[in-house]
Amino acid sequence: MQEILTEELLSELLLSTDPQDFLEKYGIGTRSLSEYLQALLEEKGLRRIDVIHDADLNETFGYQIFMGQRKPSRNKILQIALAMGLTLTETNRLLQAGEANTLYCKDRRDAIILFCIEKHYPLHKVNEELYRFGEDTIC
Amino acid sequence: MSKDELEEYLGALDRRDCYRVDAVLKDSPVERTERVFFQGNNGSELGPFVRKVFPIESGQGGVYAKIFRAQQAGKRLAHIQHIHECYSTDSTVEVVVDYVEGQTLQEYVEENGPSVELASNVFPALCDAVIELHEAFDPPIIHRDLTPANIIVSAGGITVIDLGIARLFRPGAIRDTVYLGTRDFAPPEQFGFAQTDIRTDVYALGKILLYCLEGSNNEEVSKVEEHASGHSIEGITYPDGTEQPKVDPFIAHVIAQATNLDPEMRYGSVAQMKEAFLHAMDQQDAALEAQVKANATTGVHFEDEDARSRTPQPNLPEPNTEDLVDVVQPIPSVPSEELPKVSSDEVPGANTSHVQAKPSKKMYALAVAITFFREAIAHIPKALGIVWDVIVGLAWLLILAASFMLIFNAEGELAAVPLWFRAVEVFGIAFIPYTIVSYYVLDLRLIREEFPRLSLPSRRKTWYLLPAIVITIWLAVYIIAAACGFAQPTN
Repeated sequence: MQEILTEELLSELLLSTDPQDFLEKYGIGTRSLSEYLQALLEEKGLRRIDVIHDADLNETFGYQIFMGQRKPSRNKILQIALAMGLTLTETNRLLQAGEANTLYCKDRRDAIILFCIEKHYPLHKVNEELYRFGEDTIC
Repeated sequence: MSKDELEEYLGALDRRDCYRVDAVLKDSPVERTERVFFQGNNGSELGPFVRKVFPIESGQGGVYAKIFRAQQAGKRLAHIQHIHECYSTDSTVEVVVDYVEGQTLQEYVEENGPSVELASNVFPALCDAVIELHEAFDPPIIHRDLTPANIIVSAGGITVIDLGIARLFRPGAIRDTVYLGTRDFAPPEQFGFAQTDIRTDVYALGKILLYCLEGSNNEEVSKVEEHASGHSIEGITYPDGTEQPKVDPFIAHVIAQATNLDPEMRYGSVAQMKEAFLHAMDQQDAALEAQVKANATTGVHFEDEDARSRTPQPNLPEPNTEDLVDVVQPIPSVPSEELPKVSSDEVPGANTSHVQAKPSKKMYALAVAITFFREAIAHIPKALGIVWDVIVGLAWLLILAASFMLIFNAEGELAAVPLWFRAVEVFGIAFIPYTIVSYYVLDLRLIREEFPRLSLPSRRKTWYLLPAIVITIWLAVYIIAAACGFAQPTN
């Protein structure tokens, strides 16, 4: 029985989204962390200097990350992600680009971070919540 | 408050593992639906429940979150499933709702066939459910995926499931190579031609109503659509050449309006559509009743071959007048300055040509025409109706004053007549008939609304008494005049 129509339409839409997302979704030529960061900056119309400041990163270190000269730890990537106000999907992709583990809901700490990302909490608030539940803070 | 939320969220994630999957009901790239049971620590089980898992990219589930928050906050939603869990993980959005026992509307119709009874039992309740979705939230939640497969019919009532699945429709996305032939329930705007709103659901409900009446019988469906586009209704053709439409025209009209391609032309809300549907059902019942009565008065039986070949009776014109009246009767009492026009003069005298066992096409068409006419009048704003009532009231007072003046300050011929007779004459000939006529032309809609317990004499059922009463009164006056020697006032 042809029950599928809702899904057909949805598939249509999923396929009709931004081709960039489409490519990334299918993992065609995963790009490097700095490339993705640059792309995100452009897309969201943010300035590198603001992001580095909001992420609580050392200026030089932050610059080097964006230039691809240094490889940041998972926590640092998360700091940047929170500073840029990325969605869950974007955050996970950023983590992947940075060769770190994506957020995993079965890990309690990750779950808390997940929740905070969805609620668009700023970095300091995320740290608060992590601390409250007895988990390691991000920074 | 957000602290509690986080704790609850972590709790929900922990509970995830406690759900045992009993069966997978649907598994597609954009949604997985499972029947699950919740296992408590002591080994006992709760359930069954339905768990829906959406990939996060699809953006679905937002509506569930909204409803979940409302329910958690204590909002009472009678027609919406209770949501037990609603959270998102790293890759999915998951929702756990009650498992609703019962058949889907689709299964029911496939098993038992479509019928008017089904429509009248199911449709108003279905409207109530959708109305709740629209009105309990601001901005309204638009289901966008109302289909017979998403409606569960059970002893307890109607439940609409699969909420907010189709929320993701963005106006820009148009594909032209996908076969969308089975997409019978979605209006054009859902494909990106316009913004979807509550009228989108109105369209879907129209299609569902049609489904209740005709199933997936495409032939019948297209007949109704022909009617919608203004062409004649085709239906059953009887041996004597008369026809009867298969989908009752009153309901077909409701369907046609609801499924108009232009959202502006549809009903503005599901509440309006529900009202129109109930109205149409009343009219349908009454029209059928009238026809049964009509057949009874002309002494014709159904399926009676002899009757059909019988030659016309000499007294046929009289019953036909009543036929028309019976047919006209069921129309709702709406203000009508035109009321007197629909008189026996307009009886299709052609009915005398042959006796019919089934409702004649002409009478049926007349009933339909009158109904549409009444509908048009019903659209006159009630405020205007009140203005009309005031005018009628003032005129009545004027006549009252004039009557008194005539009685007490009569001049000329009338002066010759004794006072008591003057009173009888003036009241009988002019005032009382005028009062009765005034009552029949009033617009009582607003008054009925304001005073629902007021039982006003029904005009619908008694309007043919009007001439009878008037003539009787005139006759009485004349007789009294004659008896007292006043029959010829002038000499």
